[in-house]
Amino acid sequence: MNETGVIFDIQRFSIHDGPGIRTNIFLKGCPLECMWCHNPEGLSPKPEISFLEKKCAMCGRCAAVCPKGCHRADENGHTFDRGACIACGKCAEACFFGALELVGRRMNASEVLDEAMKDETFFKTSGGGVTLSGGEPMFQPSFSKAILAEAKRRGLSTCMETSGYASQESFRALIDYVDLFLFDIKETSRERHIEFTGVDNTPILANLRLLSECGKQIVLRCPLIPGKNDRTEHAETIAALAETHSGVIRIEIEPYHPLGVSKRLRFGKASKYDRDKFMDKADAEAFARIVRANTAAPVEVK
Amino acid sequence: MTQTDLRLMDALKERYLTSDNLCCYYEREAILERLSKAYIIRRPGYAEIIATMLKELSPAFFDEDVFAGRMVEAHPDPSWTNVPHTNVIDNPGHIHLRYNDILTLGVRTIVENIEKRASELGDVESKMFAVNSRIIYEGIENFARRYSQAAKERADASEGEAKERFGRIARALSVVPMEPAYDLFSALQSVWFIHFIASCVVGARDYGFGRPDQYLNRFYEKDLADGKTQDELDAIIAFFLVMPNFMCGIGMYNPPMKAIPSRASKQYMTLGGLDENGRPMSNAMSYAILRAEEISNMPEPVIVNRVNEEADPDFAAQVYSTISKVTDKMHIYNDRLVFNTLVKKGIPPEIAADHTFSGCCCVDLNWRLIRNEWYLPMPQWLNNVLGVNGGDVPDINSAEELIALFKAEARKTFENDLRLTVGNFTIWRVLDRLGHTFDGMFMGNCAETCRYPLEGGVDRHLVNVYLCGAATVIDSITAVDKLVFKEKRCTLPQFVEILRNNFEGEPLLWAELKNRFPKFGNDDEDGDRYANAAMSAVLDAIEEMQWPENYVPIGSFYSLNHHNNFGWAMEATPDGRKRGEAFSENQSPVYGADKKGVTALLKSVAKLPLTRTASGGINLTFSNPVTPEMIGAITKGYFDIGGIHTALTVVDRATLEAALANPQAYRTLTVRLFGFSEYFINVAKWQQQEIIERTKL
Repeated sequence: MNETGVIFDIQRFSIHDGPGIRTNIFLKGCPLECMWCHNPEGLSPKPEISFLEKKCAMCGRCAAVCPKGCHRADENGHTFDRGACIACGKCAEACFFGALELVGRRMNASEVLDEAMKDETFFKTSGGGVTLSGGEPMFQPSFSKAILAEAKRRGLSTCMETSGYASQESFRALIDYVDLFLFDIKETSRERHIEFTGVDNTPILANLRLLSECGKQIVLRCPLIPGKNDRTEHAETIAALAETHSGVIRIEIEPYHPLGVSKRLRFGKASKYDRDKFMDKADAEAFARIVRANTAAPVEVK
Repeated sequence: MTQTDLRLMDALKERYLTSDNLCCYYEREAILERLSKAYIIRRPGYAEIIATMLKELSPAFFDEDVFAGRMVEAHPDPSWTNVPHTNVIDNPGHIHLRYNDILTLGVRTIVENIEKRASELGDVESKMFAVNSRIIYEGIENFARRYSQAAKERADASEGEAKERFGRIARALSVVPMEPAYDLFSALQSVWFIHFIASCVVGARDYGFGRPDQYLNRFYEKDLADGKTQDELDAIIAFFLVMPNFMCGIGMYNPPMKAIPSRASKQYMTLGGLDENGRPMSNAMSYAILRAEEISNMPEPVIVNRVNEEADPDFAAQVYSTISKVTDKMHIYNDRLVFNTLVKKGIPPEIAADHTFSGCCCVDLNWRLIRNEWYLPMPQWLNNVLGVNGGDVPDINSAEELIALFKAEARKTFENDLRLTVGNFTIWRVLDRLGHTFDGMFMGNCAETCRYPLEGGVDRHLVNVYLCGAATVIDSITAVDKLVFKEKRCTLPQFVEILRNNFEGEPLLWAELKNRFPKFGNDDEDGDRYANAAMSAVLDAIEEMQWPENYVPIGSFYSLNHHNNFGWAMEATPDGRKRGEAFSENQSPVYGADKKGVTALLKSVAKLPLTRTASGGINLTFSNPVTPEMIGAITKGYFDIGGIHTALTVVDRATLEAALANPQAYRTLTVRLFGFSEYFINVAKWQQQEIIERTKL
């Protein structure tokens, strides 16, 4: 209960991350660095400042309060020295225009659940509950476990959206508190997985097997990235995973969207995949057809 | 729907979408023009004017018509100065007629009963009521017979499907509305014929259809028992539902309002609900209308569903399913909440259980009353007491004191302006004196008493007191409380001076108020703190006031479009709203202030004292399609915590912006405007922008 962790958002009325109306709890920190990451604020485990220059009114209040002199507003515009920033949040507190925000705050599990319980009425009418997301919730395994255990104590449905990249011990420790895993399959080729995300997918696939063998329900979530993983072979292997893991109840194909591109700039992160167009729905459907042809599991394009 | 039905439906919709808003009801105007000149010699009575029109108007048809009843349209004669003619003939509309009696007794028997009753009563007024009723009846009968004959001639000249279609109209109008209806088609034709005369010939907006599932179900059930299929009957109802669109014009603002008396008529029908004992009143016809709505899927009529999921889960499920398809064209009201409010206001339970809604989002008691809508700008009251509009700044030190002054200001407005409200009813009184019999034959107890509405024909006058700008007031009280009373960052006179200057020279304070102060709509204690106290104070003021006998005042939170026009004329408010900006719409938070999604928004709105109200509403705009299950979960959850109403639109910003850029490609795109649906490309530019700015959930 007193376990604390860093959260970057608690989002109510989430209707795409598990059954019913859910409250998504976004935990900060991720061991992967996907080229197409659309939640760059989830990468670092620490609080950080989001800076959206177009909202800046050049009032100079941030520069006046920053203890490290990171902000400067002059004829050249507003410059922010992120390297010197200690994420104290004073600049965000001083900004009335929404240009600066402190992303990430430390909370304990009880506080997180108090916030989630505000929608208890709607959880009941919809069969919803809470979903842990991120970042990667397994990056803060004991905090995730504390949240899930508290959610169960309060009688809520629980989901976890995970890349699957964590130790088996960590998964075993919280597996009983999760009703449904939303399990990412970003790439099925080991070499490409390393290329796209920075990590090996061997432990991911081992954890998928573990969850399935433990009788857990799993939705495979497959981001589809044009020019990266939109290959026939990848589609066929996704289908094979569904066929060989009895816990898989559904496959969701998630066509690429470019919303992470501009968001990365707010956190001073360079873009490794900067396609600015949404993926063509027809292309995603074509990929889904290949998956469907090779598995009996339901396949949805989200 | 058969292939032929689909073709007819498409053709009728195309006729509507390509109709000419510069046309008027040519023959009606020509007749009234002629009669107005004849006034110099002899002024005809009201009944005679109506009857003259009914005897002279052409029985107009489109080739694709399934029901009879439309006006001849053409551009007005340039010499006419008064189009549409509204003097004497026009009336306030916004009522439901006694359709059950029209279908069960027929208009002939209704008039014969009036004549018998007048004879029993024996006084001159009663006799005049009867004489006028007879004159109008003869006009109705003449028009129906001529329509029947014209349909027969079309049938005789046609083959196959058209022959049968026009033959069916000819048979029906040889019987109805004079005699009782004999099947669902004749019942619908009878309803349409009367509704059409009331709206287009007599001429007024926003006649409602009452509760058609209640008065039509026996015809529906009989037709099924006689071997008609559900699909056939659904198709007939769908064609009925298309008809009200033709009497509105294609837009209220763009193109300009059509010069017809029924311009932009918002025609509500109410379905479902529970009786006074809590038993479901939905029936096979309720479901049939909802299925038909999915076929017709046009802005009119506005379908209001009285829902209580616990008592009637099947009806609720059908409503959610239909809304997921037609989205912005339907409303859901929390049936027991409205019923309870009406009972608390002294309405007998059996009458409260028969409540209906009419344009726009107004509660009424079916055909039993006349009512009006009184829109009041709450943020103006707050500015008055703060002295923003001039005068002294009050010497107060707490939000509670501010709310007390706000309540006193509300009370003062009610007392000062009540005369205006009474004035709104006087048009009925004028019409009464002129022999305003058409509506009188079919509303309230006019037929039984042989009296016009205000002379004893109607027992109750319902005053819907619509309180506009709730969120602007709540956020403003929060702002004054935090800035002045709690944090003491400036004095109240200093803050008022800043408001008088429209935040000139105070960009930082303005930004802080706008973006950083707590706001209503996020389900947090700070933003919602004064929601209940401030709004309850206004409802208390309404209840504490002395109202004229027979008036039923009900305060509700609703602004229609007045949050714009009130706001345009107002000084800055403490919440950061600048001079001339609209204030918050209906029950919604200030646009952009709610940042935590629909559940947080609804939990905040449920903190308003909605259980003391009976109408008004909230627009929920979603960017993506919403499933029936999700609509159900949102609605039930909201109603469980005291919510009164939900209505949703599904449209994203990109689609709206594309429609602005290329209107013709989006001519069938509809959006919920206030209490009704409109074609997006036909609403005014400022309204298009407002819809784009609405919070998308």
